[in-house]
Amino acid sequence: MKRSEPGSRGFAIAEAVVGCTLLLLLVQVAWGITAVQATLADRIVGESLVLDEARLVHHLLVAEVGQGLGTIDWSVSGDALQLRAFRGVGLKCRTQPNAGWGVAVSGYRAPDPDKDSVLVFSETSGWQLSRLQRRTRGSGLDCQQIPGFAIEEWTLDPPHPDAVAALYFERGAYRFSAGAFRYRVGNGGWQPLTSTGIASDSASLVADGANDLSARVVWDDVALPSRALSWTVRGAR
Amino acid sequence: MTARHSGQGGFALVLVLLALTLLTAIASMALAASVGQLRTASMAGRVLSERTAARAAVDAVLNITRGLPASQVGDFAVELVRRPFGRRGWQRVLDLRLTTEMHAFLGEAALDSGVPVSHARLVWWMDPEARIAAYAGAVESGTIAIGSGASVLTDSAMTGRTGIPSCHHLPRLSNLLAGRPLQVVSGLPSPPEWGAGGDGSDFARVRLGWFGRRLLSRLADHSAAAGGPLPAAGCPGCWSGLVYSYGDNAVMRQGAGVLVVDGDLTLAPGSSWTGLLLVAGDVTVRDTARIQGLVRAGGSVTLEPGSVVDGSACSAFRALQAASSLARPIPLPGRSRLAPVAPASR
Repeated sequence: MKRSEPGSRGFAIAEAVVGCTLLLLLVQVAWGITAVQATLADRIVGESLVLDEARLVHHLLVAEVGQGLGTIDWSVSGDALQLRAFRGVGLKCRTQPNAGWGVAVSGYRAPDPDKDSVLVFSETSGWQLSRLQRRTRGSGLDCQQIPGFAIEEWTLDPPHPDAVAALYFERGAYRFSAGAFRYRVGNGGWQPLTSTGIASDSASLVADGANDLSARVVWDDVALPSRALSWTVRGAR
Repeated sequence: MTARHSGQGGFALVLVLLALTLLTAIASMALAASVGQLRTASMAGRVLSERTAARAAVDAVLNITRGLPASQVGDFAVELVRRPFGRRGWQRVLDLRLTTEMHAFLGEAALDSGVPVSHARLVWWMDPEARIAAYAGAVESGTIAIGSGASVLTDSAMTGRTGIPSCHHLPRLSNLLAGRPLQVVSGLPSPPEWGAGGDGSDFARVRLGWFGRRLLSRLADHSAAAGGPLPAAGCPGCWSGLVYSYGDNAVMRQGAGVLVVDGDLTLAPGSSWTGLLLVAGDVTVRDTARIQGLVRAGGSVTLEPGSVVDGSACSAFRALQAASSLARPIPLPGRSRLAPVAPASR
């Protein structure tokens, strides 16, 4: 019994030291793996956010620029893309009201007389600009039934009684500023469309020829694999 | 001893479990982000496919459709084409006739049973009756000189001629000419009937509605270089379709059809042309030469003594009707896209 007590005490100390060392090693390895995994996961999440935002910027530019004609509907002035942001179309109804113009309307949103102008096409005058003064529901008008189109009566200034088709739009501008991709309607404030992780000094919107726009987006985070993306968008042809 | 060992083992197990939980959380986060990306990318790809298919359907219809439109102004939209797209999707093009010659082509495409994406274009589709109805005079030109003994007849504009049936059954043309008889001469009309206006240099010299010089030369059934031979008509009522001359030219024999000359035109003595004449420069009709139809010239028209212009709206209409290469829809030059159109919920 006396012999065995010191032996078993010593063994316990050695056992504790080895156990602690192994535990430390295990914690260190686990910590390392966890840290690497966390970094990777962080990158994946960061990259996915970047891709989401890149997709959004790309989609907006393709949609907005692709609907307009370069230099006529959009142009780059300074660092901003100034444009007619088309929001919908109107097609002439067969019967017309006594005053105003009867149209079948479809678009991203309903026309808004407070901020929209209208490009009107007539066979005799071609495309002409008008202001949308008023819009009401076109009850009693005979229009071709097209899915997704609503019937309305528009009052235009100047009026175009022989108009065939129309595009309504708001004046807008896009640019990269203060770390985000931003849009403004008319002379309003710049509203962010993305988070503020964009290196707006390096991002750019540049006219490329008469009808193309080159876009380059650079993110602040240097560790991102897709930190810089660039593409060219074509205007309507 | 056993108690101590089990205590150490439990502690390590807790650590391992903690680490595993952490790793699982991280992995789930990464997985969720990836799945989200996949879903978004798949949705974006799907919309892109549908948009491309809607646009392609409209382009294909513009490329392959020939003949005159079946749709009526203000009537139901006519489905020009409908075909499968993808595994269970579809694409189609609707023709909405807005006026006699202006149409909106509405392309729609959907994958599976989703909401279809739309794409619309403003399209011009020539109507021969409307084209002829735009004429105010048998001869329309900048200036005209009618020699003594030359004659311009307009009293039987709708009547048939040898080999050419009457046009009295055409309601629009008949009504129009009843209310506004065809004049002997008239000045040149404004764009888009004639001249470029703001429509581009392609329309500066010759045009037929929204067919400019480039398209007219491309669609021609017969093309001739400056001074080159023009096709002759084999019989009365035999049409040569659309004939395009790239420069000054002369009619030496009997011809019939729609003659477009990007230069000056001379009709030699004894020659004749039946149908429609569109000339960028001057027209000279020599002694005993004859035009049966309608003439539009950017320069001057000189009718020498003994020459005849038989103002026949009916002959011009038949010539235009026979020029089958012109019976096709074309996107309105310049701005033709009507966008954005909201997805058509159904």
